[in-house]
Amino acid sequence: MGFSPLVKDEVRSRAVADSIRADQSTQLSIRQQIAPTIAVAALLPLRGRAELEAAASFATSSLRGEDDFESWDAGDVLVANAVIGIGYRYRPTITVHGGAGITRLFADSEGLFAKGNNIRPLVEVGASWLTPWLSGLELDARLQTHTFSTASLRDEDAEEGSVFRAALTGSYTFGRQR
Amino acid sequence: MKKRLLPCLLLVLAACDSPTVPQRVLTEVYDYRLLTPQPRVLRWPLGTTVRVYVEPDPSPVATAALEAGLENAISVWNAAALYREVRLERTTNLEQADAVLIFSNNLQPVEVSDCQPGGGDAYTTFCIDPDDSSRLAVFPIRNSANEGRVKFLVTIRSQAELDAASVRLLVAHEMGHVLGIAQHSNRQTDLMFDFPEPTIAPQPSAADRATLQVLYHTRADITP
Repeated sequence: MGFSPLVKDEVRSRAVADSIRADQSTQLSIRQQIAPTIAVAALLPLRGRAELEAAASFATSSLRGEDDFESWDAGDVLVANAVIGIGYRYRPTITVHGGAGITRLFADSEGLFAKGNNIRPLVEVGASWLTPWLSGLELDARLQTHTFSTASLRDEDAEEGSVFRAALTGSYTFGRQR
Repeated sequence: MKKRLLPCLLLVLAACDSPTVPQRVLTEVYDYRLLTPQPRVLRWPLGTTVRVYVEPDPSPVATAALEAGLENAISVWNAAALYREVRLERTTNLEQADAVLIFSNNLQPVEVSDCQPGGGDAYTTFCIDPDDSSRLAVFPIRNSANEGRVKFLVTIRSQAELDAASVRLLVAHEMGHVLGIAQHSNRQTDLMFDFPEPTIAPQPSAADRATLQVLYHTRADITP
Protein backbone atom coordinates (compact mmCIF):
# COMPACT_ATOMS: atom_id res chain seq x y z
CA MET A 1 0.00 0.00 0.00
CA GLY A 2 1.39 3.46 -0.92
CA PHE A 3 0.12 6.84 0.23
CA SER A 4 -0.07 10.52 -0.66
CA PRO A 5 0.99 12.91 2.17
CA LEU A 6 -1.20 12.59 5.25
CA VAL A 7 -0.50 16.20 6.23
CA LYS A 8 1.32 19.17 4.77
CA ASP A 9 2.45 22.08 6.93
CA GLU A 10 3.56 25.48 5.70
CA VAL A 11 5.52 26.05 8.94
CA ARG A 12 6.07 29.82 9.07
CA SER A 13 5.30 33.09 7.39
CA ARG A 14 7.78 35.41 5.68
CA ALA A 15 7.38 37.87 8.57
CA VAL A 16 8.49 35.19 11.05
CA ALA A 17 11.54 34.45 8.92
CA ASP A 18 12.39 38.15 8.71
CA SER A 19 11.95 38.66 12.44
CA ILE A 20 13.72 35.55 13.72
CA ARG A 21 16.86 35.23 11.63
CA ALA A 22 17.57 31.52 11.37
CA ASP A 23 17.53 28.79 8.75
CA GLN A 24 13.84 27.82 8.87
CA SER A 25 12.09 25.20 6.78
CA THR A 26 9.34 26.46 4.47
CA GLN A 27 7.26 23.28 4.32
CA LEU A 28 7.03 19.82 5.78
CA SER A 29 5.02 16.75 5.01
CA ILE A 30 4.00 13.66 6.92
CA ARG A 31 3.60 10.58 4.81
CA GLN A 32 2.62 7.00 5.56
CA GLN A 33 5.27 4.59 4.35
CA ILE A 34 4.57 1.71 1.98
CA ALA A 35 3.21 -1.10 4.10
CA PRO A 36 2.05 -4.71 3.73
CA THR A 37 -1.72 -5.15 3.92
CA ILE A 38 -3.88 -8.05 5.05
CA ALA A 39 -7.35 -8.16 3.50
CA VAL A 40 -10.33 -10.50 3.53
CA ALA A 41 -13.32 -10.25 1.22
CA ALA A 42 -16.60 -11.99 0.55
CA LEU A 43 -18.20 -12.06 -2.91
CA LEU A 44 -21.85 -12.53 -3.77
CA PRO A 45 -22.74 -13.10 -7.45
CA LEU A 46 -25.36 -10.70 -8.74
CA ARG A 47 -27.17 -10.60 -12.03
CA GLY A 48 -25.12 -11.00 -15.20
CA ARG A 49 -21.45 -10.18 -14.80
CA ALA A 50 -21.71 -8.21 -11.58
CA GLU A 51 -20.91 -9.29 -8.03
CA LEU A 52 -21.25 -7.69 -4.62
CA GLU A 53 -18.04 -7.38 -2.64
CA ALA A 54 -17.54 -6.81 1.08
CA ALA A 55 -13.93 -6.37 2.18
CA ALA A 56 -11.93 -5.48 5.27
CA SER A 57 -8.24 -4.67 5.28
CA PHE A 58 -5.56 -3.77 7.80
CA ALA A 59 -2.11 -2.25 7.33
CA THR A 60 0.46 -1.20 9.89
CA SER A 61 2.44 1.68 8.54
CA SER A 62 5.11 3.99 9.91
CA LEU A 63 4.77 7.75 9.49
CA ARG A 64 7.75 9.62 8.12
CA GLY A 65 8.18 13.37 8.35
CA GLU A 66 10.28 15.39 5.95
CA ASP A 67 11.11 19.11 6.00
CA ASP A 68 13.59 21.13 3.96
CA PHE A 69 16.56 19.75 5.88
CA GLU A 70 15.93 16.23 7.14
CA SER A 71 13.46 13.42 7.68
CA TRP A 72 12.39 11.71 10.88
CA ASP A 73 10.30 8.87 12.31
CA ALA A 74 6.92 10.37 13.22
CA GLY A 75 5.36 7.25 14.78
CA ASP A 76 3.21 4.37 13.57
CA VAL A 77 -0.42 4.03 12.54
CA LEU A 78 -2.72 1.09 11.97
CA VAL A 79 -5.03 1.65 9.00
CA ALA A 80 -8.31 -0.27 9.06
CA ASN A 81 -10.79 -0.22 6.16
CA ALA A 82 -14.22 -1.72 5.56
CA VAL A 83 -15.60 -1.41 2.02
CA ILE A 84 -18.73 -2.58 0.23
CA GLY A 85 -18.69 -2.40 -3.54
CA ILE A 86 -19.59 -3.81 -6.89
CA GLY A 87 -17.33 -5.77 -9.18
CA TYR A 88 -18.13 -6.02 -12.89
CA ARG A 89 -16.47 -8.58 -15.14
CA TYR A 90 -15.44 -6.38 -18.02
CA ARG A 91 -13.50 -9.15 -19.77
CA PRO A 92 -13.25 -12.82 -18.83
CA THR A 93 -10.01 -12.12 -16.96
CA ILE A 94 -10.52 -8.47 -15.99
CA THR A 95 -12.91 -7.18 -13.34
CA VAL A 96 -13.41 -3.51 -12.53
CA HIS A 97 -14.40 -2.47 -9.02
CA GLY A 98 -16.01 0.48 -7.32
CA GLY A 99 -17.02 0.81 -3.69
CA ALA A 100 -17.49 2.93 -0.61
CA GLY A 101 -16.87 2.34 3.06
CA ILE A 102 -15.14 3.62 6.13
CA THR A 103 -11.56 3.95 7.29
CA ARG A 104 -9.85 4.76 10.52
CA LEU A 105 -6.26 5.39 11.52
CA PHE A 106 -5.28 4.12 14.97
CA ALA A 107 -2.24 5.70 16.63
CA ASP A 108 -0.77 6.67 20.01
CA SER A 109 -2.52 9.66 21.60
CA GLU A 110 0.29 12.10 20.87
CA GLY A 111 0.96 14.87 18.39
CA LEU A 112 -1.65 15.13 15.68
CA PHE A 113 -3.57 12.20 17.23
CA ALA A 114 -3.43 13.64 20.78
CA LYS A 115 -7.12 14.53 20.77
CA GLY A 116 -8.36 11.49 18.91
CA ASN A 117 -9.26 10.66 15.36
CA ASN A 118 -12.63 9.89 13.79
CA ILE A 119 -13.86 7.25 11.35
CA ARG A 120 -13.82 8.69 7.82
CA PRO A 121 -15.80 7.80 4.69
CA LEU A 122 -13.74 6.22 1.93
CA VAL A 123 -14.29 5.54 -1.77
CA GLU A 124 -12.29 3.21 -3.96
CA VAL A 125 -11.95 2.18 -7.58
CA GLY A 126 -9.83 -0.57 -9.00
CA ALA A 127 -9.33 -3.43 -11.37
CA SER A 128 -8.21 -7.02 -10.99
CA TRP A 129 -6.71 -9.47 -13.39
CA LEU A 130 -7.33 -13.22 -13.17
CA THR A 131 -3.93 -14.72 -13.84
CA PRO A 132 -3.57 -17.66 -16.20
CA TRP A 133 -1.07 -19.35 -13.86
CA LEU A 134 -3.41 -20.66 -11.20
CA SER A 135 -7.18 -20.81 -11.19
CA GLY A 136 -8.55 -18.31 -8.67
CA LEU A 137 -5.33 -16.27 -8.36
CA GLU A 138 -5.88 -12.57 -9.06
CA LEU A 139 -3.70 -9.47 -9.13
CA ASP A 140 -5.61 -6.49 -7.87
CA ALA A 141 -4.92 -2.74 -8.02
CA ARG A 142 -7.05 -0.30 -6.03
CA LEU A 143 -7.02 3.46 -5.56
CA GLN A 144 -8.68 4.69 -2.39
CA THR A 145 -9.32 8.20 -1.18
CA HIS A 146 -10.66 9.55 2.08
CA THR A 147 -10.80 12.87 3.86
CA PHE A 148 -8.53 13.40 6.84
CA SER A 149 -8.30 15.76 9.77
CA THR A 150 -7.97 15.49 13.54
CA ALA A 151 -8.98 17.73 16.43
CA SER A 152 -5.30 18.64 16.92
CA LEU A 153 -4.97 19.67 13.28
CA ARG A 154 -8.14 21.76 13.52
CA ASP A 155 -6.64 23.49 16.57
CA GLU A 156 -3.83 24.59 14.24
CA ASP A 157 -6.39 25.94 11.72
CA ALA A 158 -5.63 23.16 9.25
CA GLU A 159 -7.96 22.76 6.31
CA GLU A 160 -9.45 19.32 5.83
CA GLY A 161 -8.09 17.54 2.78
CA SER A 162 -7.94 14.21 1.02
CA VAL A 163 -5.50 11.35 1.26
CA PHE A 164 -4.94 8.86 -1.56
CA ARG A 165 -3.78 5.29 -1.22
CA ALA A 166 -2.76 2.86 -3.91
CA ALA A 167 -2.92 -0.83 -3.01
CA LEU A 168 -1.52 -3.72 -5.02
CA THR A 169 -2.55 -7.16 -3.84
CA GLY A 170 -2.41 -10.73 -4.90
CA SER A 171 -5.50 -12.68 -3.89
CA TYR A 172 -6.91 -16.14 -4.11
CA THR A 173 -10.67 -16.64 -4.36
CA PHE A 174 -12.25 -19.80 -3.01
CA GLY A 175 -15.38 -21.13 -4.70
CA ARG A 176 -15.66 -18.61 -7.51
CA GLN A 177 -17.02 -19.91 -10.78
CA ARG A 178 -16.18 -18.16 -14.00
CA MET B 1 -22.12 20.51 -21.04
CA LYS B 2 -18.45 21.53 -21.04
CA LYS B 3 -19.33 24.60 -18.98
CA ARG B 4 -20.77 22.36 -16.27
CA LEU B 5 -17.96 19.86 -16.44
CA LEU B 6 -15.16 22.35 -15.77
CA PRO B 7 -16.41 23.64 -12.37
CA CYS B 8 -17.07 20.05 -11.30
CA LEU B 9 -13.55 19.03 -12.28
CA LEU B 10 -12.07 22.03 -10.44
CA LEU B 11 -14.10 21.13 -7.35
CA VAL B 12 -12.79 17.58 -7.40
CA LEU B 13 -9.20 18.76 -7.86
CA ALA B 14 -9.52 21.32 -5.06
CA ALA B 15 -10.61 18.59 -2.68
CA CYS B 16 -7.67 16.42 -3.67
CA ASP B 17 -4.92 18.20 -1.76
CA SER B 18 -3.66 16.83 1.55
CA PRO B 19 -4.80 18.47 4.80
CA THR B 20 -2.63 21.56 5.13
CA VAL B 21 -1.64 23.47 8.26
CA PRO B 22 -1.22 27.17 7.40
CA GLN B 23 1.85 29.27 8.11
CA ARG B 24 2.48 30.41 11.69
CA VAL B 25 2.40 34.18 11.81
CA LEU B 26 4.43 36.73 13.74
CA THR B 27 1.63 37.40 16.22
CA GLU B 28 2.04 33.80 17.42
CA VAL B 29 5.71 32.93 17.15
CA TYR B 30 8.16 34.54 19.60
CA ASP B 31 11.92 34.42 19.50
CA TYR B 32 13.13 30.99 20.64
CA ARG B 33 16.86 31.47 20.03
CA LEU B 34 19.46 31.18 22.75
CA LEU B 35 20.89 34.61 23.54
CA THR B 36 24.57 33.91 23.14
CA PRO B 37 26.58 36.86 21.68
CA GLN B 38 25.07 35.83 18.36
CA PRO B 39 21.59 34.23 18.81
CA ARG B 40 21.74 30.49 18.22
CA VAL B 41 19.14 27.77 17.82
CA LEU B 42 19.17 25.05 20.47
CA ARG B 43 17.01 21.99 19.99
CA TRP B 44 17.09 18.22 20.13
CA PRO B 45 17.53 16.29 16.87
CA LEU B 46 14.19 15.44 15.21
CA GLY B 47 12.66 12.23 16.56
CA THR B 48 14.49 12.38 19.91
CA THR B 49 12.93 11.03 23.11
CA VAL B 50 14.10 13.21 26.01
CA ARG B 51 14.18 11.25 29.28
CA VAL B 52 13.56 13.08 32.53
CA TYR B 53 14.46 11.79 35.99
CA VAL B 54 12.70 13.01 39.14
CA GLU B 55 15.06 13.28 42.12
CA PRO B 56 13.11 12.01 45.15
CA ASP B 57 12.46 14.52 47.92
CA PRO B 58 12.52 13.42 51.60
CA SER B 59 8.82 14.29 51.63
CA PRO B 60 6.75 11.79 49.61
CA VAL B 61 4.15 14.51 49.06
CA ALA B 62 6.75 16.78 47.46
CA THR B 63 8.03 13.93 45.29
CA ALA B 64 4.47 13.17 44.20
CA ALA B 65 3.98 16.84 43.27
CA LEU B 66 7.09 16.77 41.06
CA GLU B 67 6.00 13.49 39.47
CA ALA B 68 2.51 14.80 38.79
CA GLY B 69 3.99 17.98 37.34
CA LEU B 70 6.22 15.95 35.05
CA GLU B 71 3.37 13.67 33.93
CA ASN B 72 1.35 16.74 32.98
CA ALA B 73 4.32 18.31 31.17
CA ILE B 74 4.90 15.10 29.22
CA SER B 75 1.26 14.96 28.18
CA VAL B 76 0.90 18.58 27.09
CA TRP B 77 4.26 18.98 25.33
CA ASN B 78 3.96 15.62 23.56
CA ALA B 79 0.62 16.82 22.21
CA ALA B 80 2.21 20.13 21.13
CA ALA B 81 4.94 18.40 19.11
CA LEU B 82 2.42 17.84 16.35
CA TYR B 83 4.50 15.48 14.22
CA ARG B 84 6.42 13.77 17.02
CA GLU B 85 9.49 15.90 16.38
CA VAL B 86 10.48 15.41 20.02
CA ARG B 87 8.99 13.46 22.93
CA LEU B 88 9.33 13.74 26.68
CA GLU B 89 9.41 10.55 28.72
CA ARG B 90 9.96 9.83 32.39
CA THR B 91 12.81 7.55 33.42
CA THR B 92 13.53 6.10 36.83
CA ASN B 93 17.15 5.44 35.90
CA LEU B 94 19.41 8.45 36.44
CA GLU B 95 22.05 6.99 34.12
CA GLN B 96 19.59 7.13 31.21
CA ALA B 97 18.30 10.62 31.98
CA ASP B 98 18.79 13.63 29.69
CA ALA B 99 17.31 15.98 32.29
CA VAL B 100 16.85 15.94 36.05
CA LEU B 101 13.93 17.51 37.92
CA ILE B 102 14.61 18.46 41.55
CA PHE B 103 13.46 20.68 44.42
CA SER B 104 16.10 23.26 45.37
CA ASN B 105 16.54 22.04 48.96
CA ASN B 106 17.90 18.68 47.81
CA LEU B 107 21.44 17.72 46.92
CA GLN B 108 21.86 17.75 43.16
CA PRO B 109 22.55 14.21 41.89
CA VAL B 110 24.78 15.65 39.15
CA GLU B 111 27.84 17.88 39.24
CA VAL B 112 27.18 21.21 37.52
CA SER B 113 30.67 22.63 38.43
CA ASP B 114 31.09 26.08 36.85
CA CYS B 115 27.61 26.06 35.37
CA GLN B 116 25.83 27.49 38.37
CA PRO B 117 22.06 27.67 38.35
CA GLY B 118 20.06 30.71 39.40
CA GLY B 119 16.64 32.20 38.85
CA GLY B 120 13.19 32.78 40.27
CA ASP B 121 10.66 30.17 41.38
CA ALA B 122 12.16 27.69 38.95
CA TYR B 123 15.18 27.58 36.66
CA THR B 124 16.72 25.33 34.04
CA THR B 125 20.49 24.99 34.01
CA PHE B 126 22.53 23.94 31.00
CA CYS B 127 25.93 24.85 29.58
CA ILE B 128 27.52 24.78 26.16
CA ASP B 129 30.33 22.24 25.98
CA PRO B 130 33.62 24.20 26.23
CA ASP B 131 35.26 21.75 23.79
CA ASP B 132 32.45 21.74 21.21
CA SER B 133 30.20 24.78 20.95
CA SER B 134 27.63 22.83 18.94
CA ARG B 135 26.87 20.57 21.92
CA LEU B 136 25.78 20.90 25.53
CA ALA B 137 28.03 19.79 28.37
CA VAL B 138 27.14 16.62 30.25
CA PHE B 139 26.62 17.09 34.00
CA PRO B 140 28.40 14.03 35.47
CA ILE B 141 26.49 11.91 37.98
CA ARG B 142 27.91 12.27 41.48
CA ASN B 143 29.65 9.28 43.04
CA SER B 144 29.21 7.11 39.97
CA ALA B 145 31.62 5.47 37.56
CA ASN B 146 29.07 6.13 34.84
CA GLU B 147 29.18 9.77 33.78
CA GLY B 148 25.58 9.57 32.50
CA ARG B 149 24.08 11.91 29.90
CA VAL B 150 22.31 14.62 31.92
CA LYS B 151 22.45 17.96 30.15
CA PHE B 152 19.61 19.85 31.83
CA LEU B 153 19.01 20.39 35.53
CA VAL B 154 15.50 21.69 36.22
CA THR B 155 15.19 23.14 39.71
CA ILE B 156 11.92 24.06 41.38
CA ARG B 157 12.48 26.33 44.35
CA SER B 158 11.32 24.57 47.51
CA GLN B 159 8.09 25.95 48.91
CA ALA B 160 7.35 26.48 52.62
CA GLU B 161 3.81 25.32 51.91
CA LEU B 162 3.71 22.99 48.96
CA ASP B 163 1.40 24.24 46.19
CA ALA B 164 0.94 21.33 43.77
CA ALA B 165 -0.79 23.51 41.17
CA SER B 166 2.12 25.95 41.19
CA VAL B 167 4.63 23.09 40.86
CA ARG B 168 2.67 21.74 37.91
CA LEU B 169 2.76 25.11 36.16
CA LEU B 170 6.47 25.65 36.85
CA VAL B 171 7.46 22.17 35.67
CA ALA B 172 5.44 22.59 32.44
CA HIS B 173 7.16 25.96 31.83
CA GLU B 174 10.68 24.65 32.50
CA MET B 175 10.13 21.62 30.25
CA GLY B 176 9.53 24.13 27.44
CA HIS B 177 13.12 25.29 28.03
CA VAL B 178 14.38 21.69 28.10
CA LEU B 179 12.82 21.24 24.66
CA GLY B 180 14.76 24.24 23.40
CA ILE B 181 12.55 27.32 23.76
CA ALA B 182 15.41 29.42 25.09
CA GLN B 183 13.57 32.73 25.56
CA HIS B 184 10.31 33.87 27.10
CA SER B 185 7.08 34.99 25.52
CA ASN B 186 6.00 38.56 26.22
CA ARG B 187 2.33 37.56 26.53
CA GLN B 188 1.00 36.84 30.00
CA THR B 189 -1.38 34.22 28.61
CA ASP B 190 1.45 32.00 27.35
CA LEU B 191 2.96 29.18 29.39
CA MET B 192 6.40 30.44 28.38
CA PHE B 193 5.81 33.96 29.76
CA ASP B 194 8.66 34.91 32.10
CA PHE B 195 6.53 34.68 35.23
CA PRO B 196 3.44 32.63 34.24
CA GLU B 197 0.29 33.73 36.06
CA PRO B 198 -0.94 31.08 38.53
CA THR B 199 -4.34 31.31 36.87
CA ILE B 200 -3.26 30.07 33.44
CA ALA B 201 -3.59 26.42 32.43
CA PRO B 202 -0.36 24.39 32.77
CA GLN B 203 -0.20 23.71 29.06
CA PRO B 204 1.28 25.39 25.98
CA SER B 205 -0.88 28.13 24.45
CA ALA B 206 -1.43 28.38 20.70
CA ALA B 207 1.57 30.73 20.57
CA ASP B 208 3.76 28.31 22.54
CA ARG B 209 2.75 25.48 20.20
CA ALA B 210 3.45 27.59 17.11
CA THR B 211 6.86 28.56 18.49
CA LEU B 212 7.76 24.93 19.20
CA GLN B 213 6.72 23.93 15.67
CA VAL B 214 8.86 26.61 14.02
CA LEU B 215 11.78 25.86 16.37
CA TYR B 216 11.79 22.17 15.41
CA HIS B 217 11.86 23.05 11.71
CA THR B 218 14.77 25.43 12.09
CA ARG B 219 18.29 24.20 11.48
CA ALA B 220 19.93 23.69 14.90
CA ASP B 221 23.19 25.39 15.87
CA ILE B 222 23.39 23.49 19.15
CA THR B 223 22.06 19.97 19.74
CA PRO B 224 22.15 18.64 23.29
